[in-house]
Amino acid sequence: MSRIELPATASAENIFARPGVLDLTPRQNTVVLGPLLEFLAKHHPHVGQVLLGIADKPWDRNDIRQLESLLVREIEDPAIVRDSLRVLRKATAFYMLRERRKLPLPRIPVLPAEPKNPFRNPVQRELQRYAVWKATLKKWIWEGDAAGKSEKGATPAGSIAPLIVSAILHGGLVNMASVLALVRAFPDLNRHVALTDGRLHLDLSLSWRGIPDMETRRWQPDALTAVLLLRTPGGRG
Amino acid sequence: MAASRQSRNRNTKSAAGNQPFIAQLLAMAKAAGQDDSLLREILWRIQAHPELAGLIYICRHLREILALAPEIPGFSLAALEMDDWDPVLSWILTKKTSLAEGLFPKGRDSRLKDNFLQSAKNPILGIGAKRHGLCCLLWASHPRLSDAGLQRNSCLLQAHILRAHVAILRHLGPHEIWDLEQEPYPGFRDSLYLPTLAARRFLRRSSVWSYALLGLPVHSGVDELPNELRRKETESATVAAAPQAETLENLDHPVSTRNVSRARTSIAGFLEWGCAPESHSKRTHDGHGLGGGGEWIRGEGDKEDCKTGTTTYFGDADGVHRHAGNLQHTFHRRFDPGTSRQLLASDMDPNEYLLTPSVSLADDAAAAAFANAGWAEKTNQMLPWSYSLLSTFELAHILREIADRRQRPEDMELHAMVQTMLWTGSSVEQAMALLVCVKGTPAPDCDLSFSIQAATNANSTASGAWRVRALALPYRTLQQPVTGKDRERTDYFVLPDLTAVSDSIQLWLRYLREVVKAPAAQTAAMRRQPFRIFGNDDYETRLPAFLRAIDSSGRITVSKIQRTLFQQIVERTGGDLASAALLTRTDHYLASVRRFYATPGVIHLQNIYRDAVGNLAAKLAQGGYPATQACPVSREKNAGCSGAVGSRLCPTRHAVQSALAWLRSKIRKKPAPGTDEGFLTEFVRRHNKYTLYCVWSFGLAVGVRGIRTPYLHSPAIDPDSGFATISDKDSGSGYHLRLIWVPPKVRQQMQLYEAYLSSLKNRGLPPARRKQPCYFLDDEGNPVPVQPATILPMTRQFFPFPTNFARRFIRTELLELGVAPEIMDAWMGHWWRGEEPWGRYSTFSYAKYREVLQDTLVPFLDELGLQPIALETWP
Repeated sequence: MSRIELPATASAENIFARPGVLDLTPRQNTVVLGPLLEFLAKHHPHVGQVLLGIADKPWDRNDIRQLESLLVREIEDPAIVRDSLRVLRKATAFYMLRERRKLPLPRIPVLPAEPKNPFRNPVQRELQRYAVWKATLKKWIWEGDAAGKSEKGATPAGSIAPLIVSAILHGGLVNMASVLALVRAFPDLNRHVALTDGRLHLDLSLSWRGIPDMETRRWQPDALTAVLLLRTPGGRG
Repeated sequence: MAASRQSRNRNTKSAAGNQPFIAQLLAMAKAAGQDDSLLREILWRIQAHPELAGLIYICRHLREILALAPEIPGFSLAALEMDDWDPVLSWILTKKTSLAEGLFPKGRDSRLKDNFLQSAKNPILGIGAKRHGLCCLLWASHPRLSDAGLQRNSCLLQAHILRAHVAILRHLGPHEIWDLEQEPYPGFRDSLYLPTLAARRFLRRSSVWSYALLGLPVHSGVDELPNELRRKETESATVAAAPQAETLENLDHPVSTRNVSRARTSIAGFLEWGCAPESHSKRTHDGHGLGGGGEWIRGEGDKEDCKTGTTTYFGDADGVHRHAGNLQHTFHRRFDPGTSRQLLASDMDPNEYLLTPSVSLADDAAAAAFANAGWAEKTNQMLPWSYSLLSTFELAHILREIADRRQRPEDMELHAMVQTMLWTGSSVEQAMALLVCVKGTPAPDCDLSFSIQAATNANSTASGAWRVRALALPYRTLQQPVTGKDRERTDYFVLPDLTAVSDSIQLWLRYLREVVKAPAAQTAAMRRQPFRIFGNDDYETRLPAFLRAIDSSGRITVSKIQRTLFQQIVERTGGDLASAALLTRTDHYLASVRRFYATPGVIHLQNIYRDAVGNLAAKLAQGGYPATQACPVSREKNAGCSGAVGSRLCPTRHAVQSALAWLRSKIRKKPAPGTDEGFLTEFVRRHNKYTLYCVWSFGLAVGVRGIRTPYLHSPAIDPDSGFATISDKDSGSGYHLRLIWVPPKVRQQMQLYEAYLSSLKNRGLPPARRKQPCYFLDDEGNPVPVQPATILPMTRQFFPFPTNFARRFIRTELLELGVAPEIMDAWMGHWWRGEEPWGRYSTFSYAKYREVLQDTLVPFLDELGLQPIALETWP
């Protein structure tokens, strides 16, 4: 843990003099606190002055809003704003406890994750890849048929690779968790596969945040994938 | 003093670059032997309007103020270098007629000349009051001309504000003010504007404000006045007791003593700033009050500028949960004057590019949890089953209850008020400002008015029409309309009264006429002047109490009633937020950027309104409230139907067709044999025009923004589907990348262009490459990039529109042709969090998108005359 350099003017009542009592996480202690103290020393917001022990008059709601606005305005990276506000919440809460006063706290910062745009990569290249994979799948299926007739050795066509590729290309299994669930289902495929009213479907068991079997998703494959599934050794039953 | 004069001269060189009227006035001053640098200094210190609106009256009042100023202890004109202003002001006043004729000769927009000489109504209001707050204040004198005390006090108040203003600007030093988009720090202009707004309130005719003005200690010294004003604030009870004798005159100008108190505080803060500008600390406010200071973080209730922050409320801003569970979304604004200037030159909103979402701030843990669960995203989707909306049955129940109670006068008034809010989507404030006109009343200059057909006849069929002022966009540059080539815009539009709001308004009007005997409500008086029908100032408290009496659960709030029409329009149009904002005069944050690209025709808006209101009325009828009383459209049936509203510089279809035809003819024109020099000129001319044609074809098809190289290399487009990805706004995260579909004819044009560029290899010019798929040639025949700075000089003569004209033009045209707004949003690349067409919960289909564009955009491009043309390769 690095030692925090405090402003020269800070008195003994500086809240940040003993960061240990603020219940900061190791990251907040090592990464966030230092730049935050520099920020407070540079911009002199009233809340910062009180926390640093430079001013006595407790802050009000407007001072808190001013501090929030200052952080948003001066710091471009929202993650740093969020981290700084979290530390400030802890510091102001501690100040309230110590001084036995009821004062407004900074609001809770939330940084919603920015969704990933599926068109991040050039779509033309992705469509080319799609065409190549379709051609590859076609080739594997033909090869598989030929190998089945001539009973040659193992080829990709003889493995579950065509099934996985078909499931992704045509069956709509486009996230990794679902594909992995399909693969995991193979050792005991009969337990997962069912045929209802002429329609094949698979019960895929998905994990959630590392905990297995938290969700069961019923997947109905397309015709080609269903045929490939039935042709795999486990699927024939 | 000599040093400061030098400073003035230095400013002279840099200022007024893009302010033609100011530059012309300075030139006229110089020609007349006046000190033009001093004049420039004056215009800067008062932040004059670039069109010189109201300058004559401002100069007249400035002279009066400067004459009175020495009476104020501590006000030294010499210290502020204002002691030598009088000769220049006097020159302007004596030469006003010749100046007006010289600045605004015949043939120019007569409005500019009228504004310059304007004496009847404040010309700066509506065209820049926020940016030129001091001018707006200086133009005004107290309306009670006969009252010398009021005149004197108002003049002294203006003197104090002027002194502080000049001191602050002097402290900030020389500044390139003429580039109006600049400000020393975000929020600076608000800090100047709000105190001037507060001071203008004291110049109202209302007895409350007049009384307050008389009580202002404006004779106090410069240093004492702020404290005196603050001290006065504590004595507000005195003011509150004064205007007990309410008259109908007061009803026209509802004010509250709380507003007086706020205004005093605001002025006091500003004067303190002016006394010691060096020790001023920028303060931030939460969106309430008028306190002088810096940047605001605003909430949903603020109409000024929703872009600096928006709030998502758990329920309503005025609901039972208003103090908890709110989530404020903040934005970081990059201070980048260069980019800002470039964007403004292209007539784009800089906030679209310079604002980036920062953290959201939750009031409590519940709001934080909701935010993490995607609450804000869901709010942005404007789903019809939101908690903050009223169901049809709830709404029908309220309206039935209100209608049943309207025998009592106070309920009669509230019934008319609620009807107005519901069917116009107005807030309480907007509804309170409603002016009612009868036949013969001059058209009022207000946001919302209502014309009734037969106000005097109790048995007549109720009918009428709303007259709505189009919601203005916060433009920060001056752009003259391209007469004859752009969609003609109108300031007002008329909406029919489809649900017989006339009934309730006439009922209340009749009561005011016959029982209250209000003079201003009589027909003869109303013929001369429109009548403000909702004259009380306590609706903000009375209306919620009235609604609580109907439904004690707290579900029914004023905000929900106000929001109903906006939501209805959004639902009926499939998400046309810009039209909903224009029709209801709601500056909704989701519509803020979209409005910069929407210039819908008035007829189109009227059709949307008819559909939305008709549908809502039908649903209410099912819920037990028969609202539908299809009234004949009033005498103004045809009035206000022409023109368009919204963003400016949207070309007409004919203008685009003509420009494309002209361009084609120039490209096809065979070069005449001549010298080598002539050959090069001809070659460059044809190459540039051909390149421009290709760039326009691409821009019209995909709506690319006005960026450097607004074009794609054709191998980047999937040959089978025509899909490609472009990044014309993205900051690096990929969030704003968008999928585009390039129509076959445009792809063909691109291939022809690339073949042409390949043929230029023999002339030492590069072929099309991914990094440089197109280029112009300079006079020497060297490649230069295609960008707004190189496109604009080329198009200025025959098509004087910004480079991104296609976005505004195609969006407006296709929406009027019936294309769904969500398709156009995907085409434009407009989405906020939760609205992404590729988002997790989105049901948007790109296959359908292509299908719709194939059916609408392709025929439209054909109609424009966009055909692939080849340019023969030269030897």
